[in-house]
Amino acid sequence: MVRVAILILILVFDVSAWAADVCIVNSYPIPPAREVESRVRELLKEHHYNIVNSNCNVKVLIGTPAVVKELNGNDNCKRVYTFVLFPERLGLQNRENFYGVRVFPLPERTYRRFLKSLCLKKKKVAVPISYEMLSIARIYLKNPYFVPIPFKNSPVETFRELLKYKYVYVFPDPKLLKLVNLVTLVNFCHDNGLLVFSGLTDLSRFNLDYVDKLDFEKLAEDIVFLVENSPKEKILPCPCRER
Amino acid sequence: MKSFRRILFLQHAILILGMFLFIVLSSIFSSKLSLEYENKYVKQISSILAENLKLITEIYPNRYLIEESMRRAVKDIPSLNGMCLSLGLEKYCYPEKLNLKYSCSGNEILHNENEIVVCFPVYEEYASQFLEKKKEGYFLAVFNRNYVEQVRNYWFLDSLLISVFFIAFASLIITSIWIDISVDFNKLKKFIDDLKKPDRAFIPLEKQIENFKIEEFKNVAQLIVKLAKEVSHLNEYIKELAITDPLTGLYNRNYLNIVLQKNFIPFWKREKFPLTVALLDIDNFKSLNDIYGHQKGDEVLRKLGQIIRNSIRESDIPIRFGGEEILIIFPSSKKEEAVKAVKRIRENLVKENFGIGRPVTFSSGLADFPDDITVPGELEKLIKLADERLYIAKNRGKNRDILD
Repeated sequence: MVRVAILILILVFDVSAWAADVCIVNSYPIPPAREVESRVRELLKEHHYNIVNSNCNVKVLIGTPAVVKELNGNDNCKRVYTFVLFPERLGLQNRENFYGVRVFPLPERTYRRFLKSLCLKKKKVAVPISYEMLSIARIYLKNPYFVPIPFKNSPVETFRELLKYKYVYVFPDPKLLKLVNLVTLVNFCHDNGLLVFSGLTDLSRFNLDYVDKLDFEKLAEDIVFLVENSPKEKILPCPCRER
Repeated sequence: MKSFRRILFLQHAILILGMFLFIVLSSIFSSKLSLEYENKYVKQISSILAENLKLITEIYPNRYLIEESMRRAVKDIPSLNGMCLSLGLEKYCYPEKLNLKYSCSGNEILHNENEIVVCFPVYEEYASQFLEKKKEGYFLAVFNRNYVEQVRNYWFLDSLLISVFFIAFASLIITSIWIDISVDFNKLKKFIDDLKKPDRAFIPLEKQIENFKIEEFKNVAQLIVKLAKEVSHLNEYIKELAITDPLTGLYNRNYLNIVLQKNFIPFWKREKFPLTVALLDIDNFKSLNDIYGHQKGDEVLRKLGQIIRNSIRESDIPIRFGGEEILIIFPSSKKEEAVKAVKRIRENLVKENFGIGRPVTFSSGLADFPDDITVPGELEKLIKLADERLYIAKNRGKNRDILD
């Protein structure tokens, strides 16, 4: 009996010693990022992880600056990231020990949900994009249905071309997402009977026809899943709620 | 123990000092607060201007339009001297000399001799918060320090004046309250002083009570008068007890020793009026006590006292001299006149039935001035003579009066 008790005690100590130390680095001071961070902390505690500030086995990185900093570092521990708009741009899909969850869905998936949600037929989609972002956009817009229409200063330059299409996809392009530019584009599309959709969840307040709804709870769960596992698919899709 | 005036003075001094300190501290606090508000004001105005200008640059990035907007803002806001907006490689300034005069490095407010310079970075604003904000340039606004400080000083003076006004008003109210209390307190003090006087009378004092303004002081004065009256009555009663024999109701020897020696004898010496002393002693009083008990003896003495009081003049002084001995002083009477009163007393006593089967009698000895003594004032000598004559009366068979 005593031997069994000692064995159990040893096992318990060993298990607690095996519990990984996790660091959380949040470089994105926006409310959704803070919400995800606090939820991840809760879930990690529930899964008996130690949340520490240094010397950790796994680093949870929230925001592009935190990931860029880690890319330059020598640390070889496992990194789980989110709130990185274009992980492929940083080559994270090829990096060892880097696992992430997309914060905006791939355009194809958004397009599928857009069609399904509004019961529409598949047609070509115009994507106004600034020249600076064109190369990045091409990585994500592989589907032949997406037609990038580049502009230099303002999306107004693309308006004549847009009239040839029925659907317009808003890509997370900083130039396009300037307040005036986006409002101008959405107004133009509505005035001309074009349907506008996007994968960026917080664009819903700009009266777009369809916007994917990001599930922050699922996002936090996916991060914890990546902390615990190392799947073959190194970037998990953006968790969206069905409308 | 501190006097009320001292307490009043000290409290006033503390109050004035406290108010002075309050004004000084509130001035310092207001000054700091106003500086904070000044900074907030210039920063808020600057950020509104920056937002507007940035929006114009996004809608229609035209230098002339932006500079015209800046010119109008400078004209419309009196405290504003000028501003600069730097976005990427483009830099817009109004007036243009500002471009050379100032450079902006971070988020700061600089107070120069005549100007307040507000400087902060300008970030790219996106419709989605998922895109990270990038620093796009900076905004710089220059305010006229004198004008801003003038506004601040007006605000500061206003608040100071209001606080001084309120404090003065409060002081006025407190002082008037203290004055009311002080006036009533002085009245109470005078009232107590009047009460202490030996020749005081209660009726005028009671009239003084009506003059009090404050109810509580009035109540205290009423209570003092009530207590003083009770004390006075008690004094009278104690005095009465000290000089009166409780059994007979006549004066006791204290009266003889204190009052007569002190007041009456000097008066007699001065006026030299005739005076008779009669010393009465109840006959066979010891046997009456032995046979019928002390209660009967007391009854006889009580009755005798009553008879004496009823049989003599107001000015005559009856004193219970010893156990059953009564001394009566008859001022302005010779013994031939006084003996009539003694006989009247005897007649009345003999009439009384004490239930002992015989009448109670007494013997007396009388002596007077100027027949028996030549110098007025020698009361003791007269008493001694009367005592000797009483002894003779007893020896001659009692129930008689001896005058010689």
